[in-house]
Amino acid sequence: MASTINGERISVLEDKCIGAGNCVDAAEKYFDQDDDTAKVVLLRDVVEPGDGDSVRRAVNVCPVAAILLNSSGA
Amino acid sequence: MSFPTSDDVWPFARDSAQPLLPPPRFAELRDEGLVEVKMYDGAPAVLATKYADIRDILMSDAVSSDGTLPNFPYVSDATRANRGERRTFDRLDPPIHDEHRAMLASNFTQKRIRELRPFVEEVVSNLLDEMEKANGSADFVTMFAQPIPAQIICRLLGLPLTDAPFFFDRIHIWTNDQGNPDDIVKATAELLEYFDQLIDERIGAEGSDIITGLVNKQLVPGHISRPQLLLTFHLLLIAGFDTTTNMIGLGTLLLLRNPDAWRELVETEDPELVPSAVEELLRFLSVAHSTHIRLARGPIPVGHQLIPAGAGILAPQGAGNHDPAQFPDPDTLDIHRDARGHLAFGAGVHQCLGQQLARLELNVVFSLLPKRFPDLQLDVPFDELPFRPNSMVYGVESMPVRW
Ligand code: HEM
Ligand code: SF4
Repeated sequence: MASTINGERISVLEDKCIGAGNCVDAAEKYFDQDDDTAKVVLLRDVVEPGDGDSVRRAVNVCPVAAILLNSSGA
Repeated sequence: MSFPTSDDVWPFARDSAQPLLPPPRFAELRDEGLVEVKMYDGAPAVLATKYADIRDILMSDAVSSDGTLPNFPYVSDATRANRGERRTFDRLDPPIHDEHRAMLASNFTQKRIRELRPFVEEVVSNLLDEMEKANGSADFVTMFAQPIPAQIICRLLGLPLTDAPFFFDRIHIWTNDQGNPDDIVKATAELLEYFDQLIDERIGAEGSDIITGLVNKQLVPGHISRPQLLLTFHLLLIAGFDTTTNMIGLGTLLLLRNPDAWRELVETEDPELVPSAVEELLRFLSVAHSTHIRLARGPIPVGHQLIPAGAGILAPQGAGNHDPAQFPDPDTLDIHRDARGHLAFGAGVHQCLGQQLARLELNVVFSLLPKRFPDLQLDVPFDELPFRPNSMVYGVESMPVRW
């Protein structure tokens, strides 16, 4: 379910990232972009309570599927 | 190919009674899944009309945008002339695409674009002041929709605003998909020559604009060749001028056709409403109605089907953005719906580089315009508006308004 991803781990595939910046718009607490390369910078890698929707949103709006979620850490 | 074949020739026509909607044929074909249609020269191409299928295609590692590959589909001799040999990075595949795009990307990060907000607000406010002086009526396109992106792109690239008419003229010729191929080749040559001279002027120059930066940080150290850099400038100019202009023009028109939505924007105090409305306008209008042509480099899995290697592909964003499985009641404008995830900026590695800038421009426009001109209305009957079906980017040539 959409909002039960607390505790899931986020990882990013920097090589794939094209610096579109959509993830920053969706979940600023988790994603930023490098000033020089525009590539995604992960600010924290565990989804905190209440943030499930915005992180999932970031996953969905990434044009190259460079953001991954996995529940193994949960 | 093993897909249902239709006699349809691409591109499909819009319904003249509903010129703001994508061609109605999309909805009729959607249940069939992938279908095979014909290009103008009789060549076959696979057409996708479902949101999920279009996304799968555009995001596939096996899809190519390289128009020089054999069997790459074209819609006319004109597009062959203007896109065939022009190897700007929107028509290149990874890894070269990624290298060229990366040289520009730092200019378009969320942070850099947010810093531009005061400047964009100033540009838009000044144009609204100008419009106010125009005695109650004006052509919205020349007075407002065109100058905004023109002033912003000129500033970002460090180009004199006095050259904007030259750019407009060449871009207009260049983007006509049914234009004369010779004219198109000439317009490209003139733009490239302009940039060629500019490069000489900018070598060793100081300046924070994109052109000066690329010349001194990429060209001079030899990271990019001069012909390739010229093409990058050409791409930025074309991509940044016309698209945003048409979103401002058609976006305003669509809101005026939906008076309840317009009223809400006039009256709202909610900072979330304009961003949501902007995404919905982008989705609904999908103005980049010709940037969906691809070729399968290898087999491409789409849903439960497979597009074979070598097939020409059409993955029109407008069809995906009006798929009821993704956006319920898709032909109704709903500025409260969550339209993010739409395909108006494409998907995959070519997804619009300028999208955060375009969003900023549209957010400023639709924050300020309705409040300054709450009584804005069309000054001609809707069905007399000159739409541009043959242009690379959909739009209106002119849009007389009064207030
Ligand atoms: C509302 C306005 C805009 C729309 C609807 C739009 C739409 C698009 C679309 C659909 C693509 C993908 C093309 C493809 O897949 O072949 C694209 C690519 C591109 N756009 Fe935009 N665009 C807009 C504004 C801008 C602006 C303001 C700029 C630059 C200042 C820009 C620069 C680019 C560039 C450079 C590409 C090529 C990206 C690549 O191939 O990696 N666009 N745009
Ligand atoms: S949305 Fe995807 S491509 Fe864009 S910056 Fe974030 S990770 Fe990179």
